[in-house]
Amino acid sequence: MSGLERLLAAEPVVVTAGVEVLAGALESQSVEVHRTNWSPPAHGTAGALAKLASAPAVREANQIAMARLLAARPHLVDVVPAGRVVPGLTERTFLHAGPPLTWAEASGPMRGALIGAMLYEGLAATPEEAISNLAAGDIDLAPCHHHQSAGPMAGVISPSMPVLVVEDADSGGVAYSTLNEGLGKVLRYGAYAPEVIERLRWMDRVLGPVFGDAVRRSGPVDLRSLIAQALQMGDDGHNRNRAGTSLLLRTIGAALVESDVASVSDRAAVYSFVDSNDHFMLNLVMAAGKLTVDAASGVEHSSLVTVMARNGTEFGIRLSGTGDRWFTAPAPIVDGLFLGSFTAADASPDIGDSAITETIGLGGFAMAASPAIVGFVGGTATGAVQRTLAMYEITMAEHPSYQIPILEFRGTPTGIDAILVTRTGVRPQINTGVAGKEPGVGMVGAGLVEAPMACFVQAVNTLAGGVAVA
Amino acid sequence: MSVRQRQGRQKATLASLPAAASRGVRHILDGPRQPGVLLGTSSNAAWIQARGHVLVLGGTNAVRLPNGVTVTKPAYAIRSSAGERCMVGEGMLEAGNLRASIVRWWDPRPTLAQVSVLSVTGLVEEARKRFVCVDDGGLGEALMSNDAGAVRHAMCGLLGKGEGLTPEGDDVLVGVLAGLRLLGPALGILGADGMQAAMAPIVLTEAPFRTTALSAALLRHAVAGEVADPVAAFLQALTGRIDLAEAIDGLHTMGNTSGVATACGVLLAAEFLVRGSVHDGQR
Amino acid sequence: MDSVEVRRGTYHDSVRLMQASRTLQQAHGVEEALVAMATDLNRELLAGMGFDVGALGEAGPNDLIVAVRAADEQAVAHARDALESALVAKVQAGAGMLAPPPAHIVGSAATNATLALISVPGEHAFVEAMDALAHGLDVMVFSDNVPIAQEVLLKRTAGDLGLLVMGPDCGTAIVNGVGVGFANVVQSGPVGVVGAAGTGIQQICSLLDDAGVGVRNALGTGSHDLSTEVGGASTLQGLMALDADPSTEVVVVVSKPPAPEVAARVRAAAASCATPTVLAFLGEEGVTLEGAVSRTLEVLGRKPPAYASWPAARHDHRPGILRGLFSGGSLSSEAARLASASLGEVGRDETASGHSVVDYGEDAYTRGRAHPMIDQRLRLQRLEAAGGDPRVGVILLDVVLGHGAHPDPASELAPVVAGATGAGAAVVVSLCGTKGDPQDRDRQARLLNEAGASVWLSNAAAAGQAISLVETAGR
Repeated sequence: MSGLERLLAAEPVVVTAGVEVLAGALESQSVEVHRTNWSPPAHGTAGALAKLASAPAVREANQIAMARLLAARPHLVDVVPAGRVVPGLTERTFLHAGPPLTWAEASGPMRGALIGAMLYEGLAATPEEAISNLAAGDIDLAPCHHHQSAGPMAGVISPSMPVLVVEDADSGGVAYSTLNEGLGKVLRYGAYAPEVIERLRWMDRVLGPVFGDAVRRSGPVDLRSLIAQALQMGDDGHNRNRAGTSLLLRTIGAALVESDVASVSDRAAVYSFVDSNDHFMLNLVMAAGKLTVDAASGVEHSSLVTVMARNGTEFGIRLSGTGDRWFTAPAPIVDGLFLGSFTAADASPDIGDSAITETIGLGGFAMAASPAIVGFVGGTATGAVQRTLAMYEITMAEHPSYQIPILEFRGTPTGIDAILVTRTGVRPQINTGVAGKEPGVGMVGAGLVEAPMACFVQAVNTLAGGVAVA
Repeated sequence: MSVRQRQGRQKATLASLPAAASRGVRHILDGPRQPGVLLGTSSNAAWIQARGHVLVLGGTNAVRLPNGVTVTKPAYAIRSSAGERCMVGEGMLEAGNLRASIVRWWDPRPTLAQVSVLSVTGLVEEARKRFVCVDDGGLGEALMSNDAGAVRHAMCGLLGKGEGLTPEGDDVLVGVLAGLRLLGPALGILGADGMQAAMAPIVLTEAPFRTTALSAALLRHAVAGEVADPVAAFLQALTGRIDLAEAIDGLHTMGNTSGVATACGVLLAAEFLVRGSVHDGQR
Repeated sequence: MDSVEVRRGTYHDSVRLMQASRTLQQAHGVEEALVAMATDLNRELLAGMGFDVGALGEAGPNDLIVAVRAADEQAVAHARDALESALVAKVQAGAGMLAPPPAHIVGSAATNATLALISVPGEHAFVEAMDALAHGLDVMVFSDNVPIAQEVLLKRTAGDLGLLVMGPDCGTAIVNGVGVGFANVVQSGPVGVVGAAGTGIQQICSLLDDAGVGVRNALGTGSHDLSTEVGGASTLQGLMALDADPSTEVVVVVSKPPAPEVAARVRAAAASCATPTVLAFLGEEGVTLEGAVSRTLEVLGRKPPAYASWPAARHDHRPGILRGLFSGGSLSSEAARLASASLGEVGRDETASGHSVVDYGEDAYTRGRAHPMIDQRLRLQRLEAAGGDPRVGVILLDVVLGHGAHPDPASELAPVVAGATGAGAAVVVSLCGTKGDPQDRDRQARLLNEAGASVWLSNAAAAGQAISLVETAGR
């Protein structure tokens, strides 16, 4: 029925927003009422939201951006040294997680990772020398996101590090991420002790080449398919990746055995390394995510959130329709479960590009598929399901491949709309590890964090500025 | 009796809900307070027999029937079982632990727009393409030959034929009876209720013995042109008032096949009326 | 002692907050209380009440102020407890892990819905309404103070989608027999109404119901629909829809006089309708709500009845001016028009020294308080004052019943009416209501009548009697 015939002749079912009295009066007439808990949008966005609501271009742009996001089919095709493939990476450039920052602004774990990278690349002999060179500006620092890459926690990428190469043959896109070092004292948590550097050297000497050969032999690994399966096995793609790591090993296992670029013991060491690192798959998910969001970027007027990333000092987001602009706010301190005797006082502000998983419908948005995650980040299994359900209100689609069994295989909430975030007051949920604020301490805990509303307020106002008045 | 007086007589233990009800059963619900019997309950409905009529109490999303009372709770629980006593009257329906207090009435008899024979013919053809019709036991043929005797014979074959609370044969009859009653005037055909007048007595006298109490009640309502919402929507679609595809989708919300079987009956009535008017030289 | 508390990020709708304020004010030992969002307006209000606004700090429109002035700390604590239960939101139905969390915006709750009812603050209404339209819902915008440019865009968007926008500033509608907003309980029937005037619609429906004729649909269009900018978009759309509806036998269009070119458009559209139409542009010569109802009944082949009335027993009253205290805009305009035709100049605000008819629903009188149809305090004060004022001879007021209105206005009014009539003033009441209304219309009428007032169902009749009482006083 057209709206008017239906209005006049069909039984009304009413959605209310505003004063309760009116909803009550309808219910007393035995009318089905769906109430909303309405409250005003984020302070300072009313004008921008009205402008965006009156522009059909926004809805059209979002449809285009979302179609591109959901069409991405990332495949792992190779592992090679970063300097060879990552665009713009020179001998004197280090990439890092999150929005742009300077050495002076960097927090403990970020500094530690940069020091470690200096030592690893042989650009400094001692930590003190590394600090002095970095402070003097010897090295150019740039966000991974500006170079088709993503890195977890400090996310530092230097030229000698082996990187995963993820491609989408259909769209021609490509993205990169490092190989995950494992837990404990690792570079990405800001550790730079000799054992950390030694491990990095083993990774570029053995892990990278062997793993890369296995990948080339077995052919492109369909990451979207792997992630979809892992999700149904209780992974969330961000902080719980055990199933994904296991599936990955199965996929390249035969090729690993057949590979002839290294000795049997080296190949066994590679296998053991991946086997003992439940987070190995994370970096693949992140590279897949980066490829996906890059495909959806640059659609004028689109309010799709393509990047959420932190550098330990600031939390930054980007929208598809606002070009290269970052919208930043101070990175929050994560509160959650702390290891041993650590407390929130020991924690570094939120850090890492891994929030890219939430921008493609995984991580905090897929917790309902991963109730066991609460053992890592705290909370209850019921809470985990509720958090996913809350995210449907701020996303534009349900993922066609990433499905959640307990929700009757409903697709994960995918495609964060900055407009919906500011209208509803519901902030994207990210589950994350927590780094110690002193460099070299490593992981102190894990928990849940919400993206700062200030980022979305700025983004929405900027987007509205680019829209013509109807 | 005012609302306040009614409330004074309510027992404290019953959960009281505002309800909407069909005008088709207003005389029972507004009449004096009388006992009834709970015939049965399902997850979203309860059937109550009172004063020789059957009422259906439904929750949210329940299909609105011509003998229906609806409350807006999704899955209210009537903590009671078949055979227990209910009370009906003075604007209320009490069944088990639930009291439905009628605050609003709907009209189960749709008002159809005036429409041309040509228009209806086209829409009937369209409708026939969109679903497969059930076996009409020869009723269609009998109608088209305008043979009242053959029609009555076919009707007896259909009454009570099929499974469930509303057997398929009854659904077809509901469609034919309501279609004749309502589409005739919409088409501006004089004497359109002649065939319906020939059919009605059989329904009214035979149905109570040949089929379920609920189905017999729905047949009685159909004679008066009172139908379930999806059937009303289908009739509106045949007069071009609403989208046919949408109306047909709505039919599928009525039980398993009930909606489609009823629509088949409506189409038989429409074809009879159209043929009749062509025969008489009307346009 | 004074206590001013700020709760950050806590939001409640304005009506709930006013009720909460009231609850606090009535708490034992409390002299003054304000529970409101920290908007600029409410900050002023707070200052005006003598509280320390500095205590609010940076609090903004998303933060809640709880200000209490009470005898001692215990009284303050007690008041706060009373507040908590007053602010408790409705318990959400549905339990269990898989129950979806409450929606925060219209779009999130739109599945299976057909109509959105929006009563958020005016500056935010447009965004919610556009969201509703995008989800295929018709919309009623109860909110007022929506910029006219937004209304124009809203209605253009709706028109393209085949949906109707009722409003902004639409407080009354009936859709398929269901009352939305402030609406009377009327039987369903062959009349369809399209109106830009809320109480105008209510009066028409009530009189028709008293005459035994039902109204199945009354489409509110919002007070600005017939302006030049909006061009009558919703009025024309509603008129066409009712014309096409087989169960509607006559359509009544009611509003204050439209912009001339819009009036012409409406007249032309009405003339092209197959269904008979009755146009009532209140403010045009000789047009009254009762008159429109009479014309409607004639179309249906019925004679207008003598509408219900309850004449006062006493007829002597002191001479003096007319003081009209109204809650309904259309009702007050009609009364004022009729009065000025017979009595000369009739002021429309409280500064008038001679005859006056004031609409207490206007913005000026509803700052920081709910609409007079819900909260009668201001009118009760004015009624008492008028009763005690020797210059006032006749007091005319409306009492509007139905959904959303005060549950028992006559109980509050009767003692004050009795005081006024006892002091020698005549009181005439225009009672807009039906037998089906939740307030029990006849009981309301009896209470007011027993207190000495003449009560009329027809606003024009009530105004007529009031005028005549002014003219014949002292003879």
